[in-house]
Amino acid sequence: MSSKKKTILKVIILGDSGVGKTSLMHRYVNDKYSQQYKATIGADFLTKEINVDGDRTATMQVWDTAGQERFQSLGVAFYRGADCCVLVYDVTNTKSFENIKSWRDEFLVHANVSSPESFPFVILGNKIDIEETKKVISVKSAQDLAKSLGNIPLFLTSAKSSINVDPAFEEIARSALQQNQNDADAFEEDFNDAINIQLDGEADSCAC
Amino acid sequence: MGVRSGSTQMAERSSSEVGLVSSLMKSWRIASSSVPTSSSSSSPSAVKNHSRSPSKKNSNSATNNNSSKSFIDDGNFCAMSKQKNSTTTRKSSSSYSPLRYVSPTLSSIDSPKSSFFRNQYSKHHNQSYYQHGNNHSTSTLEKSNTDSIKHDKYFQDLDEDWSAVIDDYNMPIPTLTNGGNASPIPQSNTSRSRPNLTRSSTSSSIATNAGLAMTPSLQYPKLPSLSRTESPEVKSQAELENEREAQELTAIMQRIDKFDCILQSKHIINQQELKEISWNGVPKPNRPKVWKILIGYLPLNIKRQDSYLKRKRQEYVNGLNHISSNNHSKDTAAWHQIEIDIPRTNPHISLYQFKSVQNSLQKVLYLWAIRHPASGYVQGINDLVTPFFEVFLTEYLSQSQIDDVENIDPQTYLTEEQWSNLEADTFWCLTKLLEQITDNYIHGQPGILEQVKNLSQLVKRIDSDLYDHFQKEHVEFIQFSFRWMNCLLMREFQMGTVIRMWDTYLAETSTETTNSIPYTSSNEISLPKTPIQRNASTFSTPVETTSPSSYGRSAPVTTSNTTSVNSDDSTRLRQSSLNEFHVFVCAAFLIKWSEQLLDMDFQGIITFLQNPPTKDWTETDIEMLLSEAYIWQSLYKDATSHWL
Repeated sequence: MSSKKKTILKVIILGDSGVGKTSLMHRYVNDKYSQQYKATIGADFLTKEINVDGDRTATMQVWDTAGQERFQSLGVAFYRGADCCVLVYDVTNTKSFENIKSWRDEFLVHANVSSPESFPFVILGNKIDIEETKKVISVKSAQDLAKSLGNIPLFLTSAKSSINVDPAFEEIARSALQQNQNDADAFEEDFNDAINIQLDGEADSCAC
Repeated sequence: MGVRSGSTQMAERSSSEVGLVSSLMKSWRIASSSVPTSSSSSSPSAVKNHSRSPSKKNSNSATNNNSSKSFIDDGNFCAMSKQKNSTTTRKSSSSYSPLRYVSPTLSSIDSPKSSFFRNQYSKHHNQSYYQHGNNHSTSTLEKSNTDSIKHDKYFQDLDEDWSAVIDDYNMPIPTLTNGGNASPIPQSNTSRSRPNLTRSSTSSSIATNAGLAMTPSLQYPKLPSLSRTESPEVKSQAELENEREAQELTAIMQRIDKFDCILQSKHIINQQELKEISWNGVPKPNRPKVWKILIGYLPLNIKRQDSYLKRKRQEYVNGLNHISSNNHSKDTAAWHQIEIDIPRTNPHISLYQFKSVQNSLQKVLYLWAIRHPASGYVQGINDLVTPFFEVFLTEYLSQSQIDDVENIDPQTYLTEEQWSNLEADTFWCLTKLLEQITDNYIHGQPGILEQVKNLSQLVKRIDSDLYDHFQKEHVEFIQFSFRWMNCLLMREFQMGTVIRMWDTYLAETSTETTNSIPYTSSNEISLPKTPIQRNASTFSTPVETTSPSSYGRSAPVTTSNTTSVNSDDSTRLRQSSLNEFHVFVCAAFLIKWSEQLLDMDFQGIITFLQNPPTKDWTETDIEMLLSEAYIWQSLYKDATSHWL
């Protein structure tokens, strides 16, 4: 029955203020870029229909969050039920890179995911269109970080020049779908377990 | 709170107009849902009704108040929702007309005739009609028909005056006794005006109109026919329009005069009066000064204004000098955050793209941030600073250029001193505003969470269908309304409408923060009249522990150096008024889309509310919204404290 129901994949984009979360989302969903986005307050939301397994489609709900620390207390309302979390930093901003880990931890604390170790994250290093001299985060250090956080997939992107955005979101969709199915399976398992326990109980009583 | 007695009049009237409340709601929805393209054109005159009525004084207000109270005491919300349901069926009819709420007799008449009545009614509101005789020909009817359609399809008959509507209720229908022809009206009748209404000058011309509207309806059946023969056909549509424009212009001029009159008092400006009149909108030329007074920046005492401004502006300069001196260790996080937010502030308005403006706002925001460490700079405050900046900028423009304020680089017309003064005024008014909503921006943003909760509770009671639908679709209020609270709905509207909205919002701010004024003078004027009223207007928050009796006590007089968050009780109480009213505005805003939202799923709802179709909203749409919010507030404010 659950397979007939349309799959909804919930994706959360986190990262410091101004790293390009909104731009990435709009580039992926609408294939557009604008200089005129206002700072996100709370969270913004866009959806995109995607193909999975050839003929099946799923809806990806992308939640673009506010980057300022003050808004983090909001997390719970938006993180819940996420299937994948995207961590974004700005390749020209050291601080935003250093904060990637704390964004991940922040998410795990608030999202209340079933198995934190296996929850899918994807890291995006954005703004690679900017001239080399202004880049402060080397590819190497980014790869090291991704590795240290549990082999998280890493993409270097540019929402402005549309570099690597689609491949990144394809990976995000894949991870989210995987997670979504894992959760569904886990639910099914739980359901079976519940029945088993009851049977066990009856068996016990018989043994007495 | 309790300072809004002008607007209170409106609430007091609401008892007899409970039907109107719901019809108002529904009809608004019709305007916005079933006729989406005409939503902005079909509402204006209805808006006029509401937005003007608060300024009226009704001698019967005491009686009305009692019945209004008894309605609330009944807790008869079911009755209201029933009423709403009953209107739902009517609404589905394409020939829907609010006339039905005005006269039961009219409602039974089929649509062609009722449209004729609308013409009649609309004519009565047109003064020129009386000057040019009353020999109606079909062509005039057509003219006026197009005229009225242009105005307002639904509310023409309600135009101008609520009480006229109420009185009309039991009136004979002229046409029934008159064979469908309008009769002439003796000149003497036109000079009659209603004795029980005293009005502010803005609505005085309207008052006359309303009086006219009343009189002929009463006199209709008895009048001799065709005593005057001057043909109205002579009058072209253009002329009618010109006259209407002239009338509007006169009304605006009168309104400006009224404001000037208050502002140019000899000694102390009557703040109460200013608040009442400002609630309905402040004319552009008066706005900078009025805002400074309403927010509690500019002293009410005329004699002290100049010296006070001088001192505050110097203080601002000193503050800037301090942050640029070596003694100040820069708060790089705040500076960086502001720096990346400034270019993203109102990116669609050219004014905010000028480097000069961006530098200016950066300074104002940064100085505010380091002076308020408990809150610090929070995204959204960059939005809140802009209405002040833009409005105060118009002070330095000539009348003819005021409308171009968003397009001219201020660098081209401001002297260095003027820049500094502009920044200082903006800074202090931003400070005053944020003082009232401090809890919105401190750690955890409890003020906003509280407002979101109150909004959901309010919608649960006002529109339970919508609330249930949200529940079913797992839509959480915080998912769409957080931004509404954080930016005072600024992100939802265009700047022009936001500024109009702020006229009302600033009139809603508490006066207790009024600074440096001899306390008695400002307080006597602004204190609520009765303890009950005070209590009623206090929107409880969980942190609030003060009893109503302490409400009237003196708030600490804020001195120039507001260093950090005030967390004492009086601060919280002070915060209540603006935040409280804002929640009602948000509720009115949400419920406006109820019809559409009920047909949407989770994604549809969130997407819609993130980007509501308000692009073409005019000031009149905003006024309608504010009026609705006011009505909701008057109906529910007593109840809110029991929800928590």
